[in-house]
Formats: sequence, structure tokens, C-alpha cells
Amino acid sequence: MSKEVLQGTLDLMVLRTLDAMGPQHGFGLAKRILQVSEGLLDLNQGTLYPALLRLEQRRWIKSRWGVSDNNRKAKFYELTPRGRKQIADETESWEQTVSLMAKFLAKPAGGE
Amino acid sequence: MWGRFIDVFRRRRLDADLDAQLAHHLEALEAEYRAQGLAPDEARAAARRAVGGLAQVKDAYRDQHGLPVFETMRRNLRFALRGLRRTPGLTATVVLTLAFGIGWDQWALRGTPGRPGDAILCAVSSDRREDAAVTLGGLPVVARGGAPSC
Repeated sequence: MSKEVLQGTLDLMVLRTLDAMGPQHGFGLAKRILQVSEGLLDLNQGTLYPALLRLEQRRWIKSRWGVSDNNRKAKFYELTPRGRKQIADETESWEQTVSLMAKFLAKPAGGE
Repeated sequence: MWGRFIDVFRRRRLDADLDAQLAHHLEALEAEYRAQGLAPDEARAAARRAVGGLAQVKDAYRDQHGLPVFETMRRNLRFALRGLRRTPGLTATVVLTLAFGIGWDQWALRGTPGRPGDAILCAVSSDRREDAAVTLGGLPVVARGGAPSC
């Protein structure tokens, strides 16, 4: 799979992961996304952290400093109500895109 | 957009934030590699490799918290200021000329009746009768009388 991820796709993946896991730091998110994608999506830090900043600028997530499992200072991100709404909106639009593309990509039953 | 605008003024803090986050990321990776059985120095090296070029990560981050328009404006302003510093004589002349011009206007208009921002207008009517209603554009002229001195 291509290393490049569509911006909107990554945003939705991060939001959804935060929705499922609760507050999480960058490392935890990257690890979880790698797991869920079954090793296909190994996010570069240069992709992940700017994406987190972008989501925060849009007020879809918020962050605070906390202490991680290994007792280190880490920045934790969590979903805001606006972020939750964004997930709902984006999910709907994704489902539309997927079903639309499926129509075009499906092989015609009769053939040529 | 607004969030991005605000972040332009928090660049230093955001950079420090990123450094701390990357340090945490690196440590967590290292711990994970150690748990997988790697020797401490091998784990450290592997984590560094996985994070990749730190400079590139920081650049990508800065791109997100800068506004291109403001960046350009800031650079232009600095360029202009450097130019002014290089030609102190010209700069001083321009500054003094502007200061004198603005100061003179202020001094010449001192004591002018009316609140600041009021329009200054002088209308002279040829109608000499005392009670002649003077209107201008349909509006009555507020204060009048006396010889046309303006």
C-alpha cells in the first residue's frame, strides 16, 4: 500500500481511533493505527504530529500534558464534541464515496 | 483557520511541544524494542531509524503552524527594516519629514472647534438676512453668523 495517505482519510482515522481508545498520546495512536491497519499503515512522525496539530486547530481534538504508562511526560489528545460530530459527518460522506466507487468499479454482469 | 492564526503567535511553544513529544515517541519506541529483546544500544539505534529525519519532521510541523501569508509578511517587514538600517541618513530624513508634517498639521489645527472627527466645513451664504435659513444638501447648517472669515 502506498505510504501516502489522503489527508482527509488520515484525519478520520485519527479521530476514530481517539473515539475508540479515549485520550491517547502520539505514540499510542501511531501504534494503534499500525495494529488496526494490520501493519499497512506505519505513520511517519512527520505525518502524524502535523495532523494532530491540524485537528487541534480545527478544534476537533484537544490536548493536555499528562504522564504515560512508562511514567514519562506525554501530550495526550482527546476528542471534542465537535470532533465527534465530524466523525459522524465524515463517516456518512465516506460511505457515499465507497458505494459510488463500487458502482463504477463493479464488472458489468453481461460483459462486453 | 482561527486556530491556525493564533498558533502563529505560539511558534516557540509549539516547537518545544513537538520536541517533547518526539522525545517521548523515541523513548517509547526504544522501550518497545528492548521489550522485544534488543540490547539497549541496539534498541536506541533502531528507534532513531524508525523516527527518521528529525529535521524533516520539524519542518512538516512548522508548515502546519505557520500561515504562509504571515510568513511572507514577516519576512518582507524584516527585509525592509534591514534596508532602513543600512541607510540611516535617508531613514532619519524621512522620519523627520513625516514627523514635522504630521506635527505641523496638528499644531495648525489646534483649537479648531468641534470634536475630533467632525467634518470641518465653511459655507458662505450670500443671503445677508439674519434669519435666513441656510441649508446645505438639505441639512440645516448648525452654527452661522458673523462675517465670512473663512
